[in-house]
Amino acid sequence: MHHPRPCQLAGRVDAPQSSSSIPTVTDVILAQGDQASGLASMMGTLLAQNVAQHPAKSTDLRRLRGDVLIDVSDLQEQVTLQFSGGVCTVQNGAVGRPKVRLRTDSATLMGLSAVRIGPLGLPNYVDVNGRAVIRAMVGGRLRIKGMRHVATLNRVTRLFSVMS
Amino acid sequence: MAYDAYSPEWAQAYKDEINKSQVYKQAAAGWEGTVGLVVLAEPDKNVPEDRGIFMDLWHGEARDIRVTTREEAEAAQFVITGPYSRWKQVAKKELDATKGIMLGQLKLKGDFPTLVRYTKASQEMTECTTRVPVNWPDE
Repeated sequence: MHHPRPCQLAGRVDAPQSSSSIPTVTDVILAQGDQASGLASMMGTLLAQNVAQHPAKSTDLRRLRGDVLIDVSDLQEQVTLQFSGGVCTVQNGAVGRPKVRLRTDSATLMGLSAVRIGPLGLPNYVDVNGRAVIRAMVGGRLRIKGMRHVATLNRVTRLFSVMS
Repeated sequence: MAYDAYSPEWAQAYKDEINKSQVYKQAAAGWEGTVGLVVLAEPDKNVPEDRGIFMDLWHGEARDIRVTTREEAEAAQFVITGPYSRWKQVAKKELDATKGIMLGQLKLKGDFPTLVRYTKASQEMTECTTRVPVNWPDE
């Protein structure tokens, strides 16, 4: 029986490198390695590359603790992001006891990454992208359990935002 | 008029379709980069060899789209790879390309944050594919 080996994802920096800079390697691990699901692979790669391109996001990565479940209803796929000690381990499926659970569809999930981050580091829910997320919540296309963990939610939003 | 799948004539028609699209022009206004599509062979569906499609896209315009080898397509900044039958599903609107990537049915290589920023543009590119009539080799 083949046991998948976890693999670490390296964020790739496409911008021209100065002689003094080195590509950043972020601590994102696919627990199932080459058997990671498409969703796990996509979320892990997006996170690793986003943190590599925006080193300020590594503060959020270091401060996050606990598990976050993302359940993509139209794909019938789930992924668990386990944050601990500055490392995100991406697991296929629902694992552990997530303190935050997001249930949404694939289009809304992509929309979540389009949320802009405001000057105070807070997600901007009043511009066009932010309002789309609010509409998804009101319309039931985005359900979040564990809203009391608002700091975790904001950090995860910042980590995955590609608009900051 | 229908075009043979992944022929030079199909590539030209696809390019024309993209350049006709005001939605694409607007959504991809800031896009700079090349995209390669790799169509993996399925001999039982009359696609005996891997194919490549190389797309030079610049600020809302398709400057060049051509049928190439797999290797040439893989030299693009963004590469999406999948078997012929998956690409056919995309072209027939039976599979959303983004969902295909999330499900691991299509493999993406490149900068994900950039692609997420241009989700609408990539959706419109898929729409453009569906508007080009195609003669499929297995039909």
